[in-house]
Amino acid sequence: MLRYRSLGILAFAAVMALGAFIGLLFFVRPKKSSVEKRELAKFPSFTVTSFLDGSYFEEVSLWYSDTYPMRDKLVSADQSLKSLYGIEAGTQVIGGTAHADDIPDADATDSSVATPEDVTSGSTTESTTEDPEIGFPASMTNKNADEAAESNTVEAVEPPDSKAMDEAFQKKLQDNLYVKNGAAYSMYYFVQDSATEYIDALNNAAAKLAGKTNVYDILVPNQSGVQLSDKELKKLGGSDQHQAIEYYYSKMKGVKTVDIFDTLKEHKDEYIYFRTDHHWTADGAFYAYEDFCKVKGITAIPLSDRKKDTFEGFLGSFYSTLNNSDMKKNPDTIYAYEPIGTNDMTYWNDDGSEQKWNIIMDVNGWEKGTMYSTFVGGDNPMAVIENPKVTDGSSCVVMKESYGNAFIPFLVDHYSTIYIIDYRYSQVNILDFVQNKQVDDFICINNISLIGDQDVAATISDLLH
Amino acid sequence: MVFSSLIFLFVFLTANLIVYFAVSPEKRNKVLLIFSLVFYAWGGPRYLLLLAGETMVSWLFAIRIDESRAGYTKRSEKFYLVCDLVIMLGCLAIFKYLGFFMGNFKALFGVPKSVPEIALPIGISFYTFQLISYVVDVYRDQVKPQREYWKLLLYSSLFHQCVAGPIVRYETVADEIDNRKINANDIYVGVRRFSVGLAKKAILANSCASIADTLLPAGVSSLKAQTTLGMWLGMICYMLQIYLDFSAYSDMAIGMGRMVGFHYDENFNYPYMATSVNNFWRRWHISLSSFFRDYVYIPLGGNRCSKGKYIRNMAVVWFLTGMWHGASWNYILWGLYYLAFLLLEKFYLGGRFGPVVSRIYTLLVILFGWTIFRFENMAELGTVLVGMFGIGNGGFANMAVGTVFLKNIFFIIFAIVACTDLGRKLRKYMMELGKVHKNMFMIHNVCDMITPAILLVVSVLALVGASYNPFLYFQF
Repeated sequence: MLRYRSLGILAFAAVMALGAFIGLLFFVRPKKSSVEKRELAKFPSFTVTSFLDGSYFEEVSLWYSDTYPMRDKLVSADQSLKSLYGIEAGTQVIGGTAHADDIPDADATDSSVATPEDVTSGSTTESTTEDPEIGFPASMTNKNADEAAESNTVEAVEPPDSKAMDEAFQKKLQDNLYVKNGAAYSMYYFVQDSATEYIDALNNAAAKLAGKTNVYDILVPNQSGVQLSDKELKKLGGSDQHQAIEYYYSKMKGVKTVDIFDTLKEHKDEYIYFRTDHHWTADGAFYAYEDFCKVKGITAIPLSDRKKDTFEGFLGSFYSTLNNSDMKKNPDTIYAYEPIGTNDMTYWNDDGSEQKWNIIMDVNGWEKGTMYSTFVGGDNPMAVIENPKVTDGSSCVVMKESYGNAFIPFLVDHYSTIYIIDYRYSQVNILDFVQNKQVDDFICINNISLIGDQDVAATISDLLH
Repeated sequence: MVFSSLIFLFVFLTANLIVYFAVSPEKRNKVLLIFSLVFYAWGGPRYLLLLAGETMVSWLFAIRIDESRAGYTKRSEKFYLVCDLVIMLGCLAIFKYLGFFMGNFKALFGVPKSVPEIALPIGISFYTFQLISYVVDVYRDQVKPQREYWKLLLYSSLFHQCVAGPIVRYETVADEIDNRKINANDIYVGVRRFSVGLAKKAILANSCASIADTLLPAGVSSLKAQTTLGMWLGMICYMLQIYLDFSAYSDMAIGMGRMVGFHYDENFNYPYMATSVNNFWRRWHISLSSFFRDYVYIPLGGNRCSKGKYIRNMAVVWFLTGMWHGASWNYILWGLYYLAFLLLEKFYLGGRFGPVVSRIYTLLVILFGWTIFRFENMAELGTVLVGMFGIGNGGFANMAVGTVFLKNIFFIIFAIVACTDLGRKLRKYMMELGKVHKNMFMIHNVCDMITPAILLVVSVLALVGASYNPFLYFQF
């Protein structure tokens, strides 16, 4: 018996020694996790205060386990073991008890819903003899001192707290889910304070831009509001998304609102939202585009005119959160439709470096969870699309988070220039930028759950004042 | 540093064991001391001074007491004892309870305007009690004072039990500090015990914690939205968590001690198998209850006195027990809650229930006890207590709770079984069978051989992904 026990000690010691050895291989330590889609902890810098209160060591411990070599493989192994914990039912609810404010009645008598004066495109072409430099952020100032432009400089802002933005995303889109047959649906909870802040921000923008730039607002509902039955929605609780959208729009003044809810609902049995990801598909975004064209008064270009790309095997955010086996067996397919005039774009990174890219990028072979970034290069502080086939000089600024990505490709054939700003990473004050560039249209396209987050609403408010 | 972390396992402990067994036996205590000081400093070098200081005070006064007994000093032994207690308890009071006292004072009288927020040095509740037990035992002439300061510091700072218990009495290790013998069997038993504790913590306790926190989110409004079944399931998981968590730390401490030749006393004895509340407290955190028994209860008279005095003694002990767990009213309430049931059992209930009913009754009392323990915020506590009876919450059950339950059903069953002595019985059965059947002997041996390594590997897997690793007793 003792022989076995000695061997047992040896086996234990061997594992310890191996673990210690691997841990010492500093050069092999990963910097980011593709499974968890985040940067891993960095080795902390030494300060006397952090040393004395123990936080330096705490961070060293965190760094050691966070960047342990082969981390992703070990995490996957752990996930497999955890799947033995119980039974995964076909229908599940995660969370579902968040607080929702009551949605006030949309003021039907509010005269503020009147459509603002149309700003026709091309009116700003005379005032710019040279194209203002597209660059960033130091070169944001308008080189042409122009009487029409009210502000000559664009305020450079500190990018929003990305941790707060990540938490908003987690809280609003991943914490309260209904899962049914390999598809997940985010539940929606109306927040009055955030709504007020968002509405106020847009009204401010519309007031400041009145007569110069048209302001559009497109609020995109979640899968749950569009695709689940009324009975299911009632059982799950939460707020009525259509009612919320109507409320938001009723309070806006001088904003051209695009209500896409009924349109999406009409097509709810089509593949307009992903199953494994919180985003909508390009097909869903197309219906929103058609509605936008109606409000703008232009003719929508049909899908059939465009080149269609197919990317298979997409397992998105819901899969990352839930690791649901039904989703794994039945991943999503991304259908993307290229614009006709051009498929080229440019975007800028956080550090200001420039990157030439495609509007619809070939993501075959990419990491399964990242494939949605086929659309307009994902989320960047600033991006520009110039379409040489559109010669009337029309331009627009699109303020968005990732929902807008699937929508923007459809706009390409209607504008000479499109500026794309993701409010989560923006390094410029968007209102200043819009005024500075003197664009024809300022289009805000936002997911209804995300703007319900206090931090997100505050960020948007900052960027539009 | 937390035991259940990669850096502890693969850097600290590995280095410690390698160096320990590599040096000659005379140097080994010094190795343990250095590693223990590094371990403690890892959590905050500032507080190392406090630990060393309190140990110095205890060392000095213990020697003085001994000299006084031999007639070499002016003052009496009692004088030195009192000085020591004042300083030790004074430090504990300031660092742990000053904020609490002042906060209550402010609530009653409006002053002072600002209450200081003092950070709690890790392990202060554990090592202070260890040092107090040392000096009192010297005073009682039960143990000889340690003449070498660094050896006393080794006793108080030894990383095995400094920050998370058990509260080891000096007399338990007094001899082993200088005379330790180990053989392969000792090392094996230590390694095995450590691995079991590690797996209990990294896998069982942490997952129970995750479920409990999902079902019982912070904030009154979130709790109000939870359903009755959700609250019960959450509290049951918390009950499992706190036992598995705390007993795991004791397992690891005992295991690591055994690896180097120290034999610490058991701190837990399958508490959820208790047949009464009285029995529960002889199975839970044994080192704490025996500390209060030997150093507070018995000196006050214990139960060899009038009924009135007995109740007073019990009240003092249970008030202090509650308070030791935290500077917050819910912990005191928790202590008094158990006082009530202990008195109830002594004077009224004793022996009335049959074996099954008594277990159910005990578990229910413990469950509600942990509910009081979990919520420092009185509003949250109130919400959950009434919510568990179906009042003012989000209904009886909902799909979210069902989802959580189904997703973890096998795990929860396993965790419950882990709280019983089934594992130990099984091993014993295998061993008995092995004495007769050669095959079973072989199986038993192979199991023994591979268990520690496998538990270690599985625990590492669990730790890598987990950012969630709270040790509840860390605030002590």
